[in-house]
Amino acid sequence: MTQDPILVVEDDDDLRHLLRMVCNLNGISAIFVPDAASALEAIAKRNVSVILTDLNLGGDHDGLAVLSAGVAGGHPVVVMSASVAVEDATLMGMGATRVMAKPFDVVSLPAVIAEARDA
Amino acid sequence: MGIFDKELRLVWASQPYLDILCRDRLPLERPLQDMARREDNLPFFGALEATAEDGLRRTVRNASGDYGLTFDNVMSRVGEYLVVESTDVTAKVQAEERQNLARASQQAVTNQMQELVVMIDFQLRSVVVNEPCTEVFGDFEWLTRFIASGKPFGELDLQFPIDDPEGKLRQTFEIGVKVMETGESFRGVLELPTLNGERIFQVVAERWEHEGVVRGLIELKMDITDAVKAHRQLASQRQELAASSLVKTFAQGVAHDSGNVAQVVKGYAQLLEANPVAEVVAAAIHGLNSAADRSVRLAHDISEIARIGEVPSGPVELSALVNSHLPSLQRAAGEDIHVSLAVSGPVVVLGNEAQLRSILDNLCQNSARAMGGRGSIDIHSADAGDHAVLRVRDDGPGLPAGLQGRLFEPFNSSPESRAAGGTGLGLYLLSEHVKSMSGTIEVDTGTSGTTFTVSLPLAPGPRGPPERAP
Repeated sequence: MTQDPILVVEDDDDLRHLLRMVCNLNGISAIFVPDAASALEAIAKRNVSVILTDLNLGGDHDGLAVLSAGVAGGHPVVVMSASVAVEDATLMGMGATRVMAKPFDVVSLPAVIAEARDA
Repeated sequence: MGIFDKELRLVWASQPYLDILCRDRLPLERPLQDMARREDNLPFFGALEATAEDGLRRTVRNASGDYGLTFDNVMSRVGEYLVVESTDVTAKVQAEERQNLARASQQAVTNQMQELVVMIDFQLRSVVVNEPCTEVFGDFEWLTRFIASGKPFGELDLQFPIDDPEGKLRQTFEIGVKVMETGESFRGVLELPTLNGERIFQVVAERWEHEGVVRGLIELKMDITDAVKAHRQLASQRQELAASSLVKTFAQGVAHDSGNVAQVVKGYAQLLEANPVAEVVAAAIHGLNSAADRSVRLAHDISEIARIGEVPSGPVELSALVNSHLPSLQRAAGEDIHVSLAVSGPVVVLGNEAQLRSILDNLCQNSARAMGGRGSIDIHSADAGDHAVLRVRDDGPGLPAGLQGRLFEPFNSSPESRAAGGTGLGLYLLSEHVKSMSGTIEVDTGTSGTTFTVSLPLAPGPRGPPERAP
Protein backbone atom coordinates (compact mmCIF):
# COMPACT_ATOMS: atom_id res chain seq x y z
CA MET A 1 0.00 0.00 0.00
CA THR A 2 1.35 3.39 -0.97
CA GLN A 3 1.67 5.67 1.99
CA ASP A 4 0.46 9.25 1.87
CA PRO A 5 3.31 11.71 1.46
CA ILE A 6 4.63 13.66 4.37
CA LEU A 7 4.28 17.48 4.31
CA VAL A 8 7.49 19.42 4.95
CA VAL A 9 7.04 23.09 5.82
CA GLU A 10 10.35 24.98 5.83
CA ASP A 11 10.99 28.55 4.70
CA ASP A 12 14.76 28.17 4.60
CA ASP A 13 15.78 27.22 1.06
CA ASP A 14 18.99 25.44 2.05
CA LEU A 15 17.22 23.42 4.72
CA ARG A 16 14.41 22.53 2.37
CA HIS A 17 16.97 21.21 -0.12
CA LEU A 18 18.67 19.22 2.65
CA LEU A 19 15.39 17.68 3.80
CA ARG A 20 14.45 16.89 0.19
CA MET A 21 17.78 15.08 -0.14
CA VAL A 22 17.13 13.13 3.10
CA CYS A 23 13.67 12.12 1.86
CA ASN A 24 14.98 11.14 -1.60
CA LEU A 25 17.78 9.02 -0.13
CA ASN A 26 15.31 7.22 2.15
CA GLY A 27 12.47 6.79 -0.32
CA ILE A 28 10.12 9.03 1.62
CA SER A 29 7.46 10.65 -0.49
CA ALA A 30 7.15 14.29 0.51
CA ILE A 31 5.50 17.58 -0.41
CA PHE A 32 7.64 20.64 0.31
CA VAL A 33 6.14 24.10 0.94
CA PRO A 34 7.93 27.29 2.06
CA ASP A 35 5.24 29.02 4.11
CA ALA A 36 2.27 28.54 6.43
CA ALA A 37 -0.36 29.57 3.88
CA SER A 38 0.77 26.92 1.40
CA ALA A 39 0.93 24.39 4.23
CA LEU A 40 -2.64 25.13 5.36
CA GLU A 41 -3.80 24.77 1.78
CA ALA A 42 -1.97 21.44 1.44
CA ILE A 43 -3.45 20.16 4.71
CA ALA A 44 -6.93 21.12 3.53
CA LYS A 45 -6.63 19.67 0.03
CA ARG A 46 -4.29 16.69 0.20
CA ASN A 47 -3.86 13.58 2.20
CA VAL A 48 -0.65 13.74 4.17
CA SER A 49 0.64 11.15 6.61
CA VAL A 50 2.95 13.29 8.76
CA ILE A 51 3.60 17.00 8.95
CA LEU A 52 7.17 18.13 9.54
CA THR A 53 7.11 21.85 10.14
CA ASP A 54 9.47 24.64 11.05
CA LEU A 55 8.13 26.87 13.79
CA ASN A 56 9.44 30.21 12.63
CA LEU A 57 8.23 30.75 9.12
CA GLY A 58 9.39 34.13 7.78
CA GLY A 59 9.71 35.89 11.07
CA ASP A 60 6.37 34.71 12.47
CA HIS A 61 5.49 31.75 14.58
CA ASP A 62 3.19 30.66 11.78
CA GLY A 63 4.38 27.13 12.43
CA LEU A 64 1.91 27.24 15.33
CA ALA A 65 -0.93 27.67 12.83
CA VAL A 66 0.39 24.71 10.87
CA LEU A 67 0.64 22.69 14.09
CA SER A 68 -2.93 23.59 15.08
CA ALA A 69 -4.34 22.81 11.64
CA GLY A 70 -2.38 19.54 11.49
CA VAL A 71 -3.53 18.42 14.93
CA ALA A 72 -7.11 19.45 14.11
CA GLY A 73 -6.89 17.34 10.94
CA GLY A 74 -5.72 14.34 12.95
CA HIS A 75 -2.19 14.38 11.53
CA PRO A 76 0.94 13.64 13.54
CA VAL A 77 2.99 16.84 13.60
CA VAL A 78 6.74 16.96 14.16
CA VAL A 79 7.98 20.47 14.91
CA MET A 80 11.50 21.56 13.93
CA SER A 81 12.46 24.52 16.03
CA ALA A 82 15.44 26.81 16.01
CA SER A 83 13.54 29.28 18.13
CA VAL A 84 13.71 29.72 21.87
CA ALA A 85 10.52 31.78 21.84
CA VAL A 86 8.13 28.88 22.34
CA GLU A 87 8.71 26.19 24.94
CA ASP A 88 8.71 22.54 23.86
CA ALA A 89 6.11 21.84 26.54
CA THR A 90 3.79 24.41 24.93
CA LEU A 91 4.17 22.73 21.55
CA MET A 92 3.56 19.28 23.04
CA GLY A 93 0.59 20.72 24.89
CA MET A 94 -0.79 21.90 21.55
CA GLY A 95 -0.59 18.35 20.30
CA ALA A 96 2.85 18.09 18.65
CA THR A 97 3.98 14.50 18.33
CA ARG A 98 7.57 15.48 18.73
CA VAL A 99 9.72 18.62 18.93
CA MET A 100 13.20 18.57 17.40
CA ALA A 101 15.59 21.38 18.19
CA LYS A 102 17.79 22.44 15.28
CA PRO A 103 20.36 21.22 14.53
CA PHE A 104 18.95 17.70 14.76
CA ASP A 105 20.34 14.44 13.38
CA VAL A 106 19.07 14.19 9.80
CA VAL A 107 20.19 10.57 9.54
CA SER A 108 17.66 9.62 12.19
CA LEU A 109 14.90 11.65 10.56
CA PRO A 110 13.37 8.69 8.65
CA ALA A 111 12.98 6.84 11.94
CA VAL A 112 11.36 9.88 13.54
CA ILE A 113 8.92 10.14 10.62
CA ALA A 114 8.13 6.42 10.82
CA GLU A 115 7.54 6.69 14.56
CA ALA A 116 5.25 9.65 14.04
CA ARG A 117 3.28 7.81 11.40
CA ASP A 118 2.69 4.98 13.83
CA ALA A 119 1.86 7.26 16.73
CA MET B 1 -10.42 126.90 56.20
CA GLY B 2 -10.22 127.56 59.91
CA ILE B 3 -8.12 130.03 61.85
CA PHE B 4 -7.08 129.53 65.45
CA ASP B 5 -5.53 132.08 67.75
CA LYS B 6 -2.48 131.43 69.80
CA GLU B 7 -4.69 130.20 72.64
CA LEU B 8 -5.79 127.50 70.24
CA ARG B 9 -9.29 128.68 69.93
CA LEU B 10 -11.12 128.74 66.64
CA VAL B 11 -11.56 132.41 65.81
CA TRP B 12 -12.67 132.19 62.19
CA ALA B 13 -14.02 129.50 59.90
CA SER B 14 -15.16 129.47 56.33
CA GLN B 15 -18.70 128.29 55.80
CA PRO B 16 -17.69 124.87 54.42
CA TYR B 17 -15.46 124.45 57.44
CA LEU B 18 -18.34 125.30 59.70
CA ASP B 19 -20.68 123.08 57.75
CA ILE B 20 -18.48 120.13 58.28
CA LEU B 21 -16.66 120.64 61.55
CA CYS B 22 -19.15 122.61 63.51
CA ARG B 23 -22.42 120.90 62.79
CA ASP B 24 -22.91 120.53 66.48
CA ARG B 25 -22.82 124.36 66.67
CA LEU B 26 -19.84 124.55 68.92
CA PRO B 27 -19.11 128.15 69.93
CA LEU B 28 -16.30 129.42 67.81
CA GLU B 29 -14.16 130.40 70.78
CA ARG B 30 -14.59 127.23 72.71
CA PRO B 31 -11.21 125.91 73.81
CA LEU B 32 -9.82 123.26 71.49
CA GLN B 33 -9.21 120.90 74.39
CA ASP B 34 -12.98 120.44 74.66
CA MET B 35 -13.19 119.43 71.04
CA ALA B 36 -10.17 117.19 71.38
CA ARG B 37 -11.91 114.99 73.85
CA ARG B 38 -13.15 113.01 70.94
CA GLU B 39 -10.46 110.47 70.39
CA ASP B 40 -10.59 110.55 66.65
CA ASN B 41 -9.61 114.19 66.69
CA LEU B 42 -6.50 113.68 68.78
CA PRO B 43 -4.13 113.60 65.81
CA PHE B 44 -5.64 116.82 64.52
CA PHE B 45 -5.28 118.75 67.77
CA GLY B 46 -1.96 117.17 68.56
CA ALA B 47 -0.60 118.42 65.22
CA LEU B 48 -2.17 121.85 65.76
CA GLU B 49 -0.52 122.19 69.16
CA ALA B 50 2.81 121.14 67.74
CA THR B 51 2.52 123.68 64.92
CA ALA B 52 1.65 126.44 67.44
CA GLU B 53 4.75 125.56 69.42
CA ASP B 54 7.43 125.16 66.75
CA GLY B 55 5.84 127.00 63.79
CA LEU B 56 6.49 124.17 61.35
CA ARG B 57 3.95 123.26 58.67
CA ARG B 58 2.17 119.94 59.20
CA THR B 59 -0.24 117.77 57.32
CA VAL B 60 -2.46 115.35 59.19
CA ARG B 61 -5.40 113.18 58.26
CA ASN B 62 -8.14 112.84 60.75
CA ALA B 63 -11.44 111.06 60.69
CA SER B 64 -14.55 112.21 62.33
CA GLY B 65 -16.26 109.25 63.79
CA ASP B 66 -19.40 111.26 64.38
CA TYR B 67 -19.91 112.27 60.78
CA GLY B 68 -18.15 109.44 58.98
CA LEU B 69 -15.88 111.92 57.27
CA THR B 70 -12.14 112.07 56.81
CA PHE B 71 -10.04 115.18 56.23
CA ASP B 72 -6.57 116.00 55.16
CA ASN B 73 -5.55 119.06 57.19
CA VAL B 74 -2.64 121.30 56.28
CA MET B 75 -1.59 123.36 59.31
CA SER B 76 0.67 126.39 59.21
CA ARG B 77 1.45 129.35 61.51
CA VAL B 78 0.92 132.86 60.26
CA GLY B 79 2.03 135.40 62.93
CA GLU B 80 -0.06 134.83 66.03
CA TYR B 81 -2.54 132.62 64.21
CA LEU B 82 -2.69 129.05 63.08
CA VAL B 83 -4.25 128.44 59.69
CA VAL B 84 -5.83 125.07 58.99
CA GLU B 85 -6.83 124.12 55.45
CA SER B 86 -8.97 121.00 55.55
CA THR B 87 -9.91 118.93 52.52
CA ASP B 88 -12.68 116.37 52.64
CA VAL B 89 -11.03 113.13 51.47
CA THR B 90 -13.79 110.84 52.65
CA ALA B 91 -14.64 109.52 49.16
CA LYS B 92 -10.97 108.90 48.35
CA VAL B 93 -10.35 107.11 51.63
CA GLN B 94 -13.44 104.99 51.22
CA ALA B 95 -12.31 104.04 47.70
CA GLU B 96 -8.88 103.10 49.05
CA GLU B 97 -10.47 101.04 51.77
CA ARG B 98 -12.60 99.24 49.23
CA GLN B 99 -9.52 98.58 47.13
CA ASN B 100 -7.58 97.36 50.13
CA LEU B 101 -10.45 95.07 50.98
CA ALA B 102 -10.56 93.80 47.40
CA ARG B 103 -6.81 93.23 47.39
CA ALA B 104 -7.01 91.46 50.72
CA SER B 105 -9.82 89.28 49.38
CA GLN B 106 -7.84 88.47 46.24
CA GLN B 107 -4.81 87.69 48.35
CA ALA B 108 -6.78 85.50 50.76
CA VAL B 109 -8.44 83.56 47.94
CA THR B 110 -5.30 83.11 45.86
CA ASN B 111 -3.30 81.98 48.88
CA GLN B 112 -5.63 78.99 49.08
CA MET B 113 -4.79 77.99 45.50
CA GLN B 114 -2.29 75.33 44.57
CA GLU B 115 -1.38 77.19 41.40
CA LEU B 116 1.08 80.04 41.54
CA VAL B 117 -1.03 83.11 40.92
CA VAL B 118 -0.15 86.56 39.64
CA MET B 119 -3.02 89.02 39.20
CA ILE B 120 -2.24 92.37 37.67
CA ASP B 121 -5.15 94.68 38.37
CA PHE B 122 -5.04 97.96 36.47
CA GLN B 123 -8.23 99.14 38.16
CA LEU B 124 -6.66 98.89 41.61
CA ARG B 125 -3.19 99.49 40.19
CA SER B 126 -2.04 96.50 42.13
CA VAL B 127 -0.33 93.18 41.72
CA VAL B 128 -1.54 90.26 43.79
CA VAL B 129 0.92 87.42 44.06
CA ASN B 130 -0.11 84.48 46.19
CA GLU B 131 2.15 82.94 48.80
CA PRO B 132 3.05 79.80 46.82
CA CYS B 133 4.14 82.05 43.96
CA THR B 134 6.20 84.30 46.22
CA GLU B 135 7.92 81.26 47.67
CA VAL B 136 8.96 80.18 44.19
CA PHE B 137 9.59 83.46 42.37
CA GLY B 138 10.28 85.90 45.23
CA ASP B 139 8.32 89.09 45.81
CA PHE B 140 6.98 91.15 42.93
CA GLU B 141 7.73 94.48 44.57
CA TRP B 142 9.36 95.75 41.36
CA LEU B 143 6.23 95.01 39.37
CA THR B 144 3.89 96.30 42.05
CA ARG B 145 5.68 99.64 42.11
CA PHE B 146 5.61 99.83 38.34
CA ILE B 147 1.90 99.01 38.03
CA ALA B 148 1.14 101.55 40.74
CA SER B 149 2.99 104.18 38.72
CA GLY B 150 0.62 103.73 35.77
CA LYS B 151 3.42 103.88 33.23
CA PRO B 152 3.16 101.93 29.97
CA PHE B 153 4.79 98.47 29.93
CA GLY B 154 7.36 99.66 27.41
CA GLU B 155 9.03 101.65 30.18
CA LEU B 156 9.26 98.72 32.56
CA ASP B 157 12.71 97.72 33.65
CA LEU B 158 12.42 94.01 34.45
CA GLN B 159 14.16 93.28 37.73
CA PHE B 160 13.54 89.63 38.51
CA PRO B 161 14.92 88.52 41.86
CA ILE B 162 16.16 85.35 40.13
CA ASP B 163 19.02 84.97 37.65
CA ASP B 164 17.51 84.72 34.20
CA PRO B 165 20.51 84.08 31.94
CA GLU B 166 18.42 82.57 29.14
CA GLY B 167 15.75 85.25 29.36
CA LYS B 168 13.01 82.70 30.14
CA LEU B 169 11.35 84.85 32.81
CA ARG B 170 11.50 87.81 30.45
CA GLN B 171 9.82 85.72 27.74
CA THR B 172 7.10 84.66 30.18
CA PHE B 173 6.51 88.28 31.11
CA GLU B 174 6.32 89.21 27.43
CA ILE B 175 3.76 86.45 26.92
CA GLY B 176 1.66 88.03 29.66
CA VAL B 177 1.92 91.48 28.09
CA LYS B 178 0.90 90.00 24.72
CA VAL B 179 -2.10 88.31 26.32
CA MET B 180 -3.17 91.66 27.78
CA GLU B 181 -2.67 93.44 24.49
CA THR B 182 -4.33 90.93 22.19
CA GLY B 183 -6.80 89.18 24.48
CA GLU B 184 -5.56 85.84 23.17
CA SER B 185 -5.11 83.54 26.14
CA PHE B 186 -1.94 81.49 26.52
CA ARG B 187 -1.68 77.87 27.52
CA GLY B 188 1.65 76.14 27.45
CA VAL B 189 4.43 74.41 29.30
CA LEU B 190 7.41 76.55 30.26
CA GLU B 191 10.64 75.60 31.96
CA LEU B 192 11.58 78.52 34.21
CA PRO B 193 14.30 79.40 36.69
CA THR B 194 12.99 79.72 40.26
CA LEU B 195 14.43 80.25 43.72
CA ASN B 196 14.45 76.43 43.90
CA GLY B 197 16.22 75.91 40.59
CA GLU B 198 14.76 75.13 37.19
CA ARG B 199 11.13 73.95 37.34
CA ILE B 200 8.54 73.05 34.74
CA PHE B 201 5.17 74.80 34.77
CA GLN B 202 1.89 74.43 33.02
CA VAL B 203 1.08 78.10 32.42
CA VAL B 204 -2.32 79.64 31.79
CA ALA B 205 -2.53 83.38 31.15
CA GLU B 206 -5.85 85.12 30.54
CA ARG B 207 -6.72 88.73 29.96
CA TRP B 208 -8.87 89.92 32.84
CA GLU B 209 -11.85 91.86 31.56
CA HIS B 210 -14.73 93.34 33.45
CA GLU B 211 -17.80 94.65 31.65
CA GLY B 212 -15.85 94.94 28.41
CA VAL B 213 -12.99 96.86 29.99
CA VAL B 214 -9.52 95.35 30.33
CA ARG B 215 -8.88 95.10 34.02
CA GLY B 216 -5.56 93.31 33.84
CA LEU B 217 -4.05 89.85 33.67
CA ILE B 218 -4.53 86.65 35.59
CA GLU B 219 -1.69 84.18 35.26
CA LEU B 220 -1.62 80.76 36.87
CA LYS B 221 1.34 78.44 36.92
CA MET B 222 1.05 74.81 38.02
CA ASP B 223 4.35 73.22 38.93
CA ILE B 224 4.36 69.96 36.97
CA THR B 225 8.06 69.24 37.32
CA ASP B 226 7.60 66.05 39.32
CA ALA B 227 4.86 64.79 37.03
CA VAL B 228 6.95 65.52 33.97
CA LYS B 229 9.96 63.82 35.51
CA ALA B 230 7.86 60.78 36.38
CA HIS B 231 6.49 60.76 32.85
CA ARG B 232 9.97 61.07 31.39
CA GLN B 233 11.16 58.25 33.62
CA LEU B 234 8.22 56.17 32.45
CA ALA B 235 8.96 57.05 28.84
CA SER B 236 12.58 56.13 29.42
CA GLN B 237 11.49 52.84 30.97
CA ARG B 238 9.25 52.29 27.96
CA GLN B 239 12.23 52.91 25.71
CA GLU B 240 14.20 50.42 27.75
CA LEU B 241 11.31 48.00 27.39
CA ALA B 242 11.22 48.63 23.65
CA ALA B 243 14.99 48.21 23.51
CA SER B 244 14.78 45.02 25.54
CA SER B 245 12.01 43.76 23.26
CA LEU B 246 14.22 44.57 20.27
CA VAL B 247 17.14 42.75 21.85
CA LYS B 248 14.83 39.75 22.40
CA THR B 249 13.63 39.85 18.80
CA PHE B 250 17.23 40.08 17.66
CA ALA B 251 18.36 37.24 19.87
CA GLN B 252 15.52 35.05 18.62
CA GLY B 253 16.16 36.02 15.00
CA VAL B 254 19.86 35.38 15.20
CA ALA B 255 19.28 32.15 17.14
CA HIS B 256 16.81 30.96 14.49
CA ASP B 257 19.07 31.86 11.60
CA SER B 258 22.15 30.38 13.23
CA GLY B 259 20.16 27.27 14.07
CA ASN B 260 19.16 26.89 10.44
CA VAL B 261 22.73 27.39 9.21
CA ALA B 262 23.98 24.89 11.78
CA GLN B 263 21.28 22.46 10.68
CA VAL B 264 22.40 22.73 7.04
CA VAL B 265 26.08 22.23 7.91
CA LYS B 266 25.50 19.41 10.35
CA GLY B 267 22.86 17.80 8.15
CA TYR B 268 25.07 17.61 5.06
CA ALA B 269 28.00 16.39 7.15
CA GLN B 270 25.83 13.56 8.49
CA LEU B 271 24.45 12.77 5.03
CA LEU B 272 27.96 12.69 3.52
CA GLU B 273 29.09 10.32 6.24
CA ALA B 274 26.12 8.00 5.77
CA ASN B 275 25.83 8.29 1.98
CA PRO B 276 29.11 9.31 0.35
CA VAL B 277 27.61 9.30 -3.15
CA ALA B 278 28.06 11.85 -5.92
CA GLU B 279 24.49 13.12 -5.64
CA VAL B 280 24.91 13.92 -1.94
CA VAL B 281 28.38 15.41 -2.46
CA ALA B 282 27.05 17.82 -5.11
CA ALA B 283 24.08 18.82 -2.95
CA ALA B 284 26.32 19.23 0.08
CA ILE B 285 28.79 21.47 -1.75
CA HIS B 286 25.93 23.70 -2.90
CA GLY B 287 24.16 23.67 0.47
CA LEU B 288 27.29 24.33 2.50
CA ASN B 289 28.39 27.20 0.24
CA SER B 290 24.95 28.73 0.45
CA ALA B 291 24.86 28.39 4.25
CA ALA B 292 28.32 29.93 4.52
CA ASP B 293 27.25 32.88 2.34
CA ARG B 294 24.19 33.43 4.50
CA SER B 295 26.27 33.30 7.61
CA VAL B 296 28.64 35.91 6.17
CA ARG B 297 25.74 38.17 5.14
CA LEU B 298 24.14 37.86 8.57
CA ALA B 299 27.42 38.66 10.32
CA HIS B 300 27.94 41.60 7.96
CA ASP B 301 24.48 43.03 8.64
CA ILE B 302 24.81 42.57 12.40
CA SER B 303 28.20 44.24 12.48
CA GLU B 304 26.82 47.07 10.36
CA ILE B 305 23.95 47.51 12.82
CA ALA B 306 26.46 47.61 15.66
CA ARG B 307 28.38 50.40 13.92
CA ILE B 308 25.34 52.65 13.34
CA GLY B 309 25.79 55.88 15.22
CA GLU B 310 29.55 55.42 15.47
CA VAL B 311 30.36 56.53 11.95
CA PRO B 312 31.33 60.19 11.53
CA SER B 313 28.94 62.32 9.50
CA GLY B 314 29.60 65.29 7.28
CA PRO B 315 28.27 66.93 4.13
CA VAL B 316 27.74 64.42 1.33
CA GLU B 317 26.58 65.30 -2.16
CA LEU B 318 23.82 62.74 -2.61
CA SER B 319 23.29 62.93 -6.36
CA ALA B 320 26.98 62.43 -7.12
CA LEU B 321 27.17 59.55 -4.67
CA VAL B 322 24.14 57.80 -6.20
CA ASN B 323 25.62 58.34 -9.66
CA SER B 324 28.99 56.87 -8.72
CA HIS B 325 27.34 53.92 -6.97
CA LEU B 326 25.00 53.13 -9.87
CA PRO B 327 27.25 50.53 -11.60
CA SER B 328 27.59 48.63 -8.33
CA LEU B 329 23.81 48.70 -7.83
CA GLN B 330 23.26 47.48 -11.36
CA ARG B 331 25.73 44.59 -10.88
CA ALA B 332 24.06 43.54 -7.62
CA ALA B 333 20.58 43.72 -9.16
CA GLY B 334 21.54 41.38 -12.02
CA GLU B 335 21.25 41.67 -15.78
CA ASP B 336 17.48 41.16 -15.86
CA ILE B 337 16.87 44.30 -13.82
CA HIS B 338 17.38 47.74 -15.29
CA VAL B 339 18.48 50.34 -12.74
CA SER B 340 18.00 53.95 -13.83
CA LEU B 341 18.83 57.21 -12.11
CA ALA B 342 17.27 60.67 -12.31
CA VAL B 343 18.84 63.51 -10.36
CA SER B 344 17.61 67.07 -10.23
CA GLY B 345 20.80 68.90 -9.33
CA PRO B 346 23.20 68.61 -6.41
CA VAL B 347 21.76 67.81 -2.96
CA VAL B 348 24.03 68.03 0.06
CA VAL B 349 22.92 65.99 3.05
CA LEU B 350 24.52 65.51 6.42
CA GLY B 351 25.58 61.90 6.64
CA ASN B 352 28.17 59.32 5.83
CA GLU B 353 28.97 57.95 2.40
CA ALA B 354 29.11 54.32 3.59
CA GLN B 355 25.72 54.70 5.27
CA LEU B 356 24.17 56.25 2.19
CA ARG B 357 25.59 53.47 -0.01
CA SER B 358 24.17 50.92 2.44
CA ILE B 359 20.76 52.64 2.23
CA LEU B 360 20.92 52.44 -1.57
CA ASP B 361 22.11 48.83 -1.51
CA ASN B 362 19.32 47.75 0.79
CA LEU B 363 16.62 49.61 -1.12
CA CYS B 364 17.75 48.18 -4.46
CA GLN B 365 18.28 44.65 -3.14
CA ASN B 366 14.85 44.74 -1.54
CA SER B 367 13.32 45.86 -4.84
CA ALA B 368 15.24 43.26 -6.83
CA ARG B 369 14.04 40.46 -4.52
CA ALA B 370 10.47 41.80 -4.57
CA MET B 371 10.50 41.66 -8.39
CA GLY B 372 11.85 38.13 -8.50
CA GLY B 373 15.03 39.32 -10.21
CA ARG B 374 13.31 40.81 -13.26
CA GLY B 375 12.02 44.37 -13.85
CA SER B 376 13.18 47.93 -13.44
CA ILE B 377 14.29 50.10 -10.53
CA ASP B 378 14.14 53.88 -10.79
CA ILE B 379 16.22 55.95 -8.41
CA HIS B 380 15.56 59.64 -7.98
CA SER B 381 17.36 62.14 -5.78
CA ALA B 382 16.20 65.71 -5.33
CA ASP B 383 16.28 68.78 -3.13
CA ALA B 384 12.74 69.15 -1.76
CA GLY B 385 13.34 72.60 -0.32
CA ASP B 386 13.83 71.90 3.37
CA HIS B 387 15.04 68.32 3.00
CA ALA B 388 16.60 65.92 0.53
CA VAL B 389 14.63 63.11 -1.07
CA LEU B 390 15.95 59.76 -2.20
CA ARG B 391 13.27 57.73 -3.96
CA VAL B 392 13.60 54.13 -5.12
CA ARG B 393 10.73 52.71 -7.13
CA ASP B 394 10.29 49.20 -8.51
CA ASP B 395 7.65 47.76 -10.80
CA GLY B 396 7.23 44.59 -8.78
CA PRO B 397 3.98 43.08 -7.45
CA GLY B 398 3.92 45.24 -4.30
CA LEU B 399 4.57 44.24 -0.69
CA PRO B 400 2.61 41.41 0.91
CA ALA B 401 -0.20 42.85 3.06
CA GLY B 402 1.03 40.89 6.07
CA LEU B 403 4.40 42.62 5.99
CA GLN B 404 3.15 46.18 5.71
CA GLY B 405 3.37 48.00 9.02
CA ARG B 406 6.07 45.62 10.28
CA LEU B 407 8.33 46.15 7.33
CA PHE B 408 11.23 47.57 9.31
CA GLU B 409 11.20 45.04 12.11
CA PRO B 410 14.24 42.78 12.22
CA PHE B 411 13.90 39.22 10.87
CA ASN B 412 10.50 39.93 9.45
CA SER B 413 11.07 39.54 5.73
CA SER B 414 8.93 37.63 3.26
CA PRO B 415 9.79 34.00 2.42
CA GLU B 416 10.55 35.20 -1.13
CA SER B 417 13.04 37.72 0.15
CA ARG B 418 14.70 35.18 2.40
CA ALA B 419 14.74 32.66 -0.43
CA ALA B 420 16.50 35.29 -2.53
CA GLY B 421 19.25 35.63 0.05
CA GLY B 422 17.82 38.27 2.37
CA THR B 423 18.99 38.09 5.97
CA GLY B 424 15.80 39.63 7.27
CA LEU B 425 17.83 42.60 8.46
CA GLY B 426 18.10 44.71 5.29
CA LEU B 427 15.10 46.98 5.80
CA TYR B 428 15.72 47.14 9.53
CA LEU B 429 19.29 48.21 8.80
CA LEU B 430 17.99 50.72 6.27
CA SER B 431 15.57 52.26 8.79
CA GLU B 432 18.26 52.43 11.49
CA HIS B 433 20.65 54.18 9.08
CA VAL B 434 17.95 56.67 8.13
CA LYS B 435 17.00 57.24 11.77
CA SER B 436 20.64 57.83 12.70
CA MET B 437 20.73 60.55 10.03
CA SER B 438 17.53 62.09 11.47
CA GLY B 439 15.62 61.12 8.35
CA THR B 440 12.33 59.38 7.66
CA ILE B 441 11.11 56.65 5.30
CA GLU B 442 7.75 56.42 3.57
CA VAL B 443 6.54 53.38 1.69
CA ASP B 444 3.91 53.42 -1.02
CA THR B 445 3.03 49.99 -2.35
CA GLY B 446 0.47 48.60 -4.74
CA THR B 447 0.04 46.04 -7.48
CA SER B 448 2.07 48.17 -9.89
CA GLY B 449 5.12 48.43 -7.65
CA THR B 450 6.60 49.79 -4.47
CA THR B 451 8.19 53.17 -3.82
CA PHE B 452 10.45 53.84 -0.85
CA THR B 453 10.94 57.54 -0.20
CA VAL B 454 13.77 58.45 2.15
CA SER B 455 13.80 62.06 3.40
CA LEU B 456 17.06 63.33 4.84
CA PRO B 457 17.95 66.66 6.42
CA LEU B 458 20.03 68.94 4.24
CA ALA B 459 23.49 69.82 5.46
CA PRO B 460 23.56 73.26 7.10
CA GLY B 461 25.08 76.10 5.12
CA PRO B 462 24.64 77.36 1.58
CA ARG B 463 22.90 75.06 -0.88
CA GLY B 464 24.86 73.06 -3.37
CA PRO B 465 27.81 70.72 -3.23
CA PRO B 466 30.58 71.29 -0.69
CA GLU B 467 33.47 73.30 -2.00
CA ARG B 468 36.22 71.21 -3.44
CA ALA B 469 39.81 71.91 -2.62
CA PRO B 470 41.62 73.45 -5.60
